[in-house]
Amino acid sequence: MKTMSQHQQIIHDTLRRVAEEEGVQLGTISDSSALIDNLGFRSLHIARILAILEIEFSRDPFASGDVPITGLRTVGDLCAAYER
Amino acid sequence: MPNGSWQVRTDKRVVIISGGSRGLGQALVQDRLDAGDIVATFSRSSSSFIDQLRSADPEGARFHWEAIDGTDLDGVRAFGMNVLRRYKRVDALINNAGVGLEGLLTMTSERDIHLALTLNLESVIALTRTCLKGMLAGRRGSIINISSVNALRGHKGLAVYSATKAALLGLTRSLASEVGPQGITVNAIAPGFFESEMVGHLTDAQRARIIRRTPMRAMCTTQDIVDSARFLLSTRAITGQTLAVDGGFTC
Ligand SMILES: NC(=O)c1ccc[n+]([C@@H]2O[C@H](COP(=O)([O-])OP(=O)(O)OC[C@H]3O[C@@H](n4cnc5c(N)ncnc54)[C@H](OP(=O)(O)O)[C@@H]3O)[C@@H](O)[C@H]2O)c1
Repeated sequence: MKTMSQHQQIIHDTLRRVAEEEGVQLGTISDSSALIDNLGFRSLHIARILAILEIEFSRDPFASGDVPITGLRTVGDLCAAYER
Repeated sequence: MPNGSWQVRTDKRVVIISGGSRGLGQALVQDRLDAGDIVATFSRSSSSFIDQLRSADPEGARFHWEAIDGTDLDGVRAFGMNVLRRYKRVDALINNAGVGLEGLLTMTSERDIHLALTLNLESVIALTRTCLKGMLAGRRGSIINISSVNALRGHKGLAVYSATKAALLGLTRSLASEVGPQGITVNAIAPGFFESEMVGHLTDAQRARIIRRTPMRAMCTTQDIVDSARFLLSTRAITGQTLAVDGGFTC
């Protein structure tokens, strides 16, 4: 099995933590899981996840608008944005 | 984990107040420090009040100030993130910094209009957006926007100022409904005239006229506004509201 990068690990941990606090039943997380359609997050939860990750990584990859937030659909998209 | 930049871990509430060097901002900073909170503020220049606080707390354990021009939006965002990194949380934000702009619209320069819109509105949105990240992460927070009675009633010579302050009321209501589910309240205070440098130019006759038109027959004091802010910070039951603190001027 492919080992996760430190970034991925933090992102997955954040998803689990937010899901638990918000009462969202997650199931398994994979790169192809859609944040809203598969995992069941709502848009405000995603805003919260991005806020936590920005504080964690000291970076908001969506701030400039160059990485469009509308393209953020799956866990893989999320990881890719911070790996850039 | 890139968290080496966190300098202070704290159980105290962290309150950000823009424009804390004098006037209402100074009174708000003092009130929050007296309440035991950590306070972070910025202004373009320091003041004896700021100098005193900084020399009493050189490490910035309870008080943090930066020289920032609120019209420098990158500077404002960086300030918010610095506070978040330093204290690891933001519990409350009071958007206080603002500039008065008076004059007939056709005789007001485009440059002054741009400055007022940038400081009184865009800068407020930028700082709020940054601070909200800390509040969303913590699932708790209070935001207070300092608007004005001029947002509620029309007054000649104040079209642009009124527009910026009325815009804050729209921001307040919509944001309140957006972030309420995450435990964050957003309210506005619309003060009547209170003594500060911003109204220092009023003549005695203008002052007397304001007082005559005020049912409570007195100008507000900064303390009246501070007390209202303290009240709004103390409750979770009020959000999306505008509290006019004006002695009845707008009633
Ligand atoms: N006074 C009134 O009667 C009245 C009535 C209704 C509403 N208000 C509102 O209440 C708020 C506070 O007013 P006040 O009377 O206390 O004003 P003030 O005495 O003029 O103080 C304004 C504060 O904001 C800071 N500030 C001004 N321009 C700035 C800039 N470009 N960048 C960063 N900081 C800046 C000032 O510091 P620096 O100059 O060093 O930057 C100062 O700390 C304002 O939003 C105002 O619109 C006032």
